[in-house]
Amino acid sequence: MKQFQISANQGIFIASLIVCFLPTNTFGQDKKDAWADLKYQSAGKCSECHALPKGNQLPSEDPNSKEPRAWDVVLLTEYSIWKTHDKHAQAYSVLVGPRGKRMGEILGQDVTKQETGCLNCHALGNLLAKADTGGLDKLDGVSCAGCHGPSSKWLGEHSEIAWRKKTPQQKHDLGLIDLRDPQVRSELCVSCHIGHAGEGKIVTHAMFAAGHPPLPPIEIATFSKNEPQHWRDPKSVPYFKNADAEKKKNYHIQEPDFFRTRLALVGALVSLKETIKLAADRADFKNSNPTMLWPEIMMGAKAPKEVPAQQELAKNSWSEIAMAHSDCYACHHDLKYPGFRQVRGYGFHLAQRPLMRVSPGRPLLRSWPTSLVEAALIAAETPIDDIEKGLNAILASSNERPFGNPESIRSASTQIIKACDSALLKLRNKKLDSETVVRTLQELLKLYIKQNPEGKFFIPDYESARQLASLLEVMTSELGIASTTKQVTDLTTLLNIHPYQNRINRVKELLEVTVKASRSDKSDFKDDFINYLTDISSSTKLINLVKNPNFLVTMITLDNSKFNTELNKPQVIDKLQKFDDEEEVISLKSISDYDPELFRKMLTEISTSMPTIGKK
Amino acid sequence: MIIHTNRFKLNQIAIVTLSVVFGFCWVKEIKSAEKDPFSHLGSVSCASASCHNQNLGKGIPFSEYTTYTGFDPHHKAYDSLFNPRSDRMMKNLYATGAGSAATHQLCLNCHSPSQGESSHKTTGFSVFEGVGCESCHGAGSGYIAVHFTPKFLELSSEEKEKQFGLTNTKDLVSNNKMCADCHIGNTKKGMIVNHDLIAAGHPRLNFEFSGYLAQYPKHWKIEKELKRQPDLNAKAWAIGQIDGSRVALQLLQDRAELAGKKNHPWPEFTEFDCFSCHKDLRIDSRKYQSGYGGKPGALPWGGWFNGNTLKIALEDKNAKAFPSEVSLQMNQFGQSPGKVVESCKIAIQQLEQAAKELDNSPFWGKPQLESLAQKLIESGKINEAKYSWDEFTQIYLGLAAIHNSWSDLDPSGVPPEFTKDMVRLKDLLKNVFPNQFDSPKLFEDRFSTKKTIVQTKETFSSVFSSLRIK
Repeated sequence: MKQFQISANQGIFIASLIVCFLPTNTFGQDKKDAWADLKYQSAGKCSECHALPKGNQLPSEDPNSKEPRAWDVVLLTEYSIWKTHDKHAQAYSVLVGPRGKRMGEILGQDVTKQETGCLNCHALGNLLAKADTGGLDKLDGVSCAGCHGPSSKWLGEHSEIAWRKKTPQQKHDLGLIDLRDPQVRSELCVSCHIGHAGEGKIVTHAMFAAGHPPLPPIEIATFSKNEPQHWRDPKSVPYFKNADAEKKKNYHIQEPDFFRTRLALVGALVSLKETIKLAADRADFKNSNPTMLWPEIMMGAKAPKEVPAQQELAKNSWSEIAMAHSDCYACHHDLKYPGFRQVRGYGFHLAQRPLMRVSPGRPLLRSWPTSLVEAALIAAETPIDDIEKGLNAILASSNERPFGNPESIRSASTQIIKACDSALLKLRNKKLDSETVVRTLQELLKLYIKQNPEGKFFIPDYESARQLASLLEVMTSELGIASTTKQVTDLTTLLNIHPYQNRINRVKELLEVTVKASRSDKSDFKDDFINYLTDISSSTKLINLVKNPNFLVTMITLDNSKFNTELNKPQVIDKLQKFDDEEEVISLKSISDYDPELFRKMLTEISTSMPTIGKK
Repeated sequence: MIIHTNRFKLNQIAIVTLSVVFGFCWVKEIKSAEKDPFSHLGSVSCASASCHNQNLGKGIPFSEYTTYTGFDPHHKAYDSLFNPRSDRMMKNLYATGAGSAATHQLCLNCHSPSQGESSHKTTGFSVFEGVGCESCHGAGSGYIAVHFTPKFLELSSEEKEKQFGLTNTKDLVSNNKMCADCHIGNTKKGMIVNHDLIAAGHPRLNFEFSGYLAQYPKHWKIEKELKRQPDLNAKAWAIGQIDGSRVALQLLQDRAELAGKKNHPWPEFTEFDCFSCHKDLRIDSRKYQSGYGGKPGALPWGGWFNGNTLKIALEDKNAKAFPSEVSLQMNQFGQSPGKVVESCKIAIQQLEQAAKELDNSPFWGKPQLESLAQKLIESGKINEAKYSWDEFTQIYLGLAAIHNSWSDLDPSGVPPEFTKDMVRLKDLLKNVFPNQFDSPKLFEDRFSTKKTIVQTKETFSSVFSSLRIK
């Protein structure tokens, strides 16, 4: 167990973190005001440096070299990875492609237009809507600026050595989003992947019905990995080796060994909070911004013109509005008898608590966000009572009427959001060492595989099971538990936690596009590139890749706009959509094939294969 | 005998496709306590060995009770409240300590319907009998002593009911109404199965009068009934469509009036097509391919009771009775309860009128049956891309009733192709429910010939384009 020990120094660093870095709400009002005059840049701008490292930016081929290289800090292949490998770069293209087109036909809308709200998630629509964006291009989909912030004030500075000494707050003041902070990152991801009423990021039930893929439950560490990452985990960054206190603080690397675990746990609390918040925000019928809040009633010619009439219509359309944030599979499942839903009873299900009851047959808020909250609270050593009270209040509102009484949802949400915030703060102040992670894992597994005092097993739904398996994978991998690797992989495969089966096909297709958009005509570097992607922290793989002159010529002469033009040609987007379709079929199949008993059986086997943990 | 076997097979789909069925209830309208002058005596009063329990065999006169206890699932309606499903339902519906379903009034209202009338029960009556003789035939105290006398037998059905409390079973509207209280619902009598109950574990109610009638283990002579009304089966279908819709609309109206009150959820999900929501998601659904009639993702109302088969049963002359306005209100989000109530009232009146007219209309002959069958087939063909399992099944049930009537009128005259096609259609509708499933999981697969899954199987298009009645 020696590998899990954490130096005493780290405790001090964490203590200093507590003092120095109280949470800042990066996505609240303060962002808008402070950043009003900042400009967002297009991905093309970033590609000038982040397509590939050149010359002495590259890692040294001599393993004994002490000479600092830019690569020690930053990959400099971020743009290339994102553009060819990350579906965020095709977020706009899917709107132009066959799925987006069909959805538009069904909805009677042009989904590429700002007024439908689609662009808010698919092309940084909120930022595009600003008068002067500084060259942001919707064709780039979800591009650099969306996550990293407006770069007009830091673009020049951020490549200088002095930049590294700045605190996250100083960088943030200049417009750089502090994505290394787990909470900041989680809030950013879920603003699209769960939704955000204030930013008009909402997938309505009509959009789902028209063909929008279901939003899968999100576990931030695994989502980041699957994005895929165009950055290295703190452990693999040479610049972070033997970091001093200041560096650790500035880069949030106090616990490099459990960085992903923290991300998952923080993400869990943020997901619950934002899920509740989305529903509560949309239940505010006095809100003066119907266009952002209620796309379902604002789309189409029949929408009333005046705000009060829009608010009234929203109030009457609550069941439709609420469907957008209800648990999809609570209704959308083929009916089986005996089905696990009837066996386990209706309501919210926390593994450690008695069933929180609701009248059977009432659509509920998405319940997967409650699934990992228990893990986060175990780690933070925080009781679940307040959250439970809030969830019970939400259920009471569903007993009042299907989809819940909007007013009671709003009051219950305040309670849950407050409890989540306080748990987030506790977790922030809590040192995550191997002991905590092991304890959390043990207690969590116990909850899921042991009978409760009433003699019943906990029965999670598919999405909750998926979340748990996801966290399990993150934790066991960070703890370095090798004995369960195969079983965990079997479980994550069964629950389709890594859903991009067509990734390589997609990369190949997009590398062809890359070549077409450059002044090169040879794509013989495909295999080297794919090999590099299997481990982006490997200097050997990178050096091998950049030794291919065709790769160099392609990346250096690549024209971002031309890439977008090539990407959006029907022969390309149709093919990409086909890849997506195939993956979606697999995703949906794993949902309909889900069997909670098999899940528990596999979990039990994993638990018994953890000798080191068991003894501890 | 062949006809009967055939008939059974054709109609069993109404029940068998829902893999577990219980909760058969068949009650007569219980008159409100102060108005009903008659008392329930209990089935034992009918079951004497010299009267209705002569034990001569299924369906033989004077063996009515024998037939009922031996073959009729209504006999077990009360028992079903003790099965594991009922226990689970109670647990899902109420916190621990809710007790047995067998003592719960909501359940007893249908599973032992005479139970509510405590002031009118004699010592002979027992809650254990479930849906007993008097649940359908009326409280026996008024007629038990006289109903076999020549003078009584001369009375009209209406007079028997009015003066002695013996329910009129001789016209189809009354018969349908009798079944519908439990099998569709009656708010005033507390006979309600809403979505809360179904989610807790109660089977869905999808009553279709002619199918249930054909399947029912009869304790009367069908030959005698057919002599009285030769087009019985086909008329039962048409009246079932119209009067069934009326009862369903009355239930909807009551629900809308009570909307939002405790235990009266609104919108009430049983009003909508079950399998529109309850299906595993797929990327190539017919709705995605062919588009939605209304707003995508809206709850589609009334596939079972108020679909195109109702339109066909109403025929052109009563077309205006179709509840279009209710449909309009129910198919838009918000489902304004006030507007629903208003539109229901109008439709109920018109449907009631139409059902009565039809019941009193001249008997149908082969030409009418053929024309109805053509219309049903046509409707299936035209709407193949958008019809739900419910809508197809309703068409099938209509065709099955017509098929039965046709063979009643002319036993050897039914085109063999028609019979063959009906069997194909029945199999198709049944086989989309895989083992253990209560929803037509494989339904969508049966539309496209392109998919590998259906390469060797039949599709709905193929059956509908080949349906032959001539």
